[in-house]
Amino acid sequence: MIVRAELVEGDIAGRLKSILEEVSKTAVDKEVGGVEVFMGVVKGRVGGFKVEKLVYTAYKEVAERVLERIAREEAEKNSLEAVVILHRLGEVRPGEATVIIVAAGRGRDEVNRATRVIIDRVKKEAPIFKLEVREDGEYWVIGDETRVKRARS
Amino acid sequence: MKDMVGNLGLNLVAGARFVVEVYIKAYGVLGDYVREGRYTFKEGVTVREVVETLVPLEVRRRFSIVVFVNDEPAPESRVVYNGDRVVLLPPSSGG
Repeated sequence: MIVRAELVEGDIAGRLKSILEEVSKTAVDKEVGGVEVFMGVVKGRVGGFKVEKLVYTAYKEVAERVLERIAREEAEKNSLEAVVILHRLGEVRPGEATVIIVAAGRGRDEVNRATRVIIDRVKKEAPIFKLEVREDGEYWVIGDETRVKRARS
Repeated sequence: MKDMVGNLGLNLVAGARFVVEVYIKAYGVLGDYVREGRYTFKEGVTVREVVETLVPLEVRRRFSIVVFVNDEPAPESRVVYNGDRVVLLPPSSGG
């Protein structure tokens, strides 16, 4: 079983091809019929305002551990052969990837369910924090949608 | 701000016989209010007292705060010791 989670300072989209090749190989001698990818990207506009960038920070000592735990638990729960999670850190511009989740398993139901649960858990459980820099100011994103204007820069 | 809070910490320990020096780091929105650095508290200080000293009441009311000490989750009642590394976390927003 492939279970991997990484916090990455640089581009992650460029690594997708090699990850897909790696996890697809699990189908050679396992009961794997589906590979699903979820890729989050930075929105160019939020609430009508232009987004310049997102800035991700993480409590690294714990965040990578949490991401790996999520990957392992969901792989076991859904009988998957592979779960890979890559999450960006630092500055990410509109259109660039923020997170990539790749899951390989028996069929589409298992991998689709797993990727949905994994992204929800990543948002809630991993100590990763997002600052949204837009034309009208800087906002901390709290949870999924709440935005709080930055108190100091 | 850091000095002000540091001094506040020292003022709180006036009269106390022993003090502890603790390294504090706050992430996300909490970092707007708590500067990263070393702070001094009275010996026997708890996680709850550290949070109440450093994080303004309105911020504590608005956001749930999770605390780690030395990279392990810490309950409010945990006593903080000299040299501990305390991390304050607001709700996560990855993805």
